Amino acid sequence: MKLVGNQCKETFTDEDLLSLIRSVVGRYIQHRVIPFREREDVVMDVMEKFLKQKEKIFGSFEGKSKFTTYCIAVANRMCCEVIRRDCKQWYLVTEKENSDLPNEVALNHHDAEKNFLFKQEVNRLETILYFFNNDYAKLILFLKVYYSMPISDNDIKNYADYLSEDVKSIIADEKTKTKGDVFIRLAEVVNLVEQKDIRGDAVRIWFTNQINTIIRRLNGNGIANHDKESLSILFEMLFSDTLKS
Amino acid sequence: MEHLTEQEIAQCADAIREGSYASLPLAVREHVANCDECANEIAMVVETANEIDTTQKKNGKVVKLWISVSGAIAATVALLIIGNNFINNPKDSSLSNQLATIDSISQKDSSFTAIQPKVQAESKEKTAKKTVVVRKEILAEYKPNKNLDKLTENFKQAYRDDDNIIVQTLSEINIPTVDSLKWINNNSVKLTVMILNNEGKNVQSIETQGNGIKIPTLKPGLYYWKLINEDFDLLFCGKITIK
Repeated sequence: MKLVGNQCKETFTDEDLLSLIRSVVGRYIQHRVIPFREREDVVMDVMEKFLKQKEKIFGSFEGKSKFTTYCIAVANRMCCEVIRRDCKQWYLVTEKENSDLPNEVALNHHDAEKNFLFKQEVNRLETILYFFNNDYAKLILFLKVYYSMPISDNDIKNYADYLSEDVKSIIADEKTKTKGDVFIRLAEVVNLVEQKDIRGDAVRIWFTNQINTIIRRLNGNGIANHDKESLSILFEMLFSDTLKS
Repeated sequence: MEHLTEQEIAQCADAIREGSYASLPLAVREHVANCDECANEIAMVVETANEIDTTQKKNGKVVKLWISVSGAIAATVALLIIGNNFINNPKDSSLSNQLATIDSISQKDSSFTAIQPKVQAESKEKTAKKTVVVRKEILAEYKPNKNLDKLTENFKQAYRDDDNIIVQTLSEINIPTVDSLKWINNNSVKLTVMILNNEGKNVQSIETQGNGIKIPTLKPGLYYWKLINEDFDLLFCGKITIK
């Protein structure tokens, strides 16, 4: 691979483009959205589409991001178009034909290290959490409280700011035993920090909605099949120091 | 709803990778917060960009390692040959002698080639075993779920019409033959379509007030779908086979 993280469009060759498209298509193969046997066809389809519009694509680049990232975004959208157009055809292949596939397919599927896959999912979760914007700090804190994970001072400060000490004492309340108690405590926290008057049920509904959104988006790649249990494992991995180190 | 442009997607992806997502325009962030499609697209671009960076770093390390290792080996071999000739046969340091020495070393190593067929046979055996495992996994994805099968059977005979919902899709459908789920919802009642895999786990939930939905892209396997109204009453349960 010859790609450089932030190449400018003047030095971006067709060879660079081809290896970038291979990476984009490779991700969908890894996610089993594109069958392995279709790899080269899809790469060539995307390449053809890109080259036809190359001048327009390059001309539309506004410099708001790295040029390579922009090209990935364009190639990714083109790849999705090819998937939408051809996916029905791909899955019409009979089992007989499937059994004749090269063993590489089996190897590709099995050679992927478990750790690597977990890390990928954790990275995806980390990305998805960013999308909660202003609720990000609140969500991180509530997740840690809900899943009984270690809470740092920064976690509280990011959400509660100057009310950190008060929030700390509410969260640390030893009477909190059941999940119902957790939501009652969190409602107290919300009422204090956001000047509201809500009950534990309202926090539970809000929290469940956020969890459902996270699961939906985690599963949006077409291969993952997370539920609340697997999500809790991913959270543990995300927040644990061992993984970060 | 108008989706983000490729430029905006790339901008978001870079911001996430650099830890400056909060500095993006509010309108863009708000759109992403509410749009699963754009969120997925950004996540995909982030993953691909990270992968390209990782591959590049690995390649860089391998090239550096290869250069240093090959350099060290070349230097050692050169020193050994020169030293050997100088000590044992200082007068005869012709190139042909040196080549003969190297040839004799490589002949000794030829025993390695004899092991190769055995290794290849073992590798083929391993590959065959892996293929069997993959086939078993594929079959497992089509294994019917007893409880959901029973539920589907029940709705074959009768269906609830509390909200005047009349399901038009057959209780068992195959993709690609059918690509959407249809019903009549004259009162525009808010409905939820739950798509479950053959283990009964929720794969996707879609809310609608319309008369049907397009079946989302799912990996091959056996799925079930449930139609639920606002009061969480089950209106229908059907089966989807994706080939």
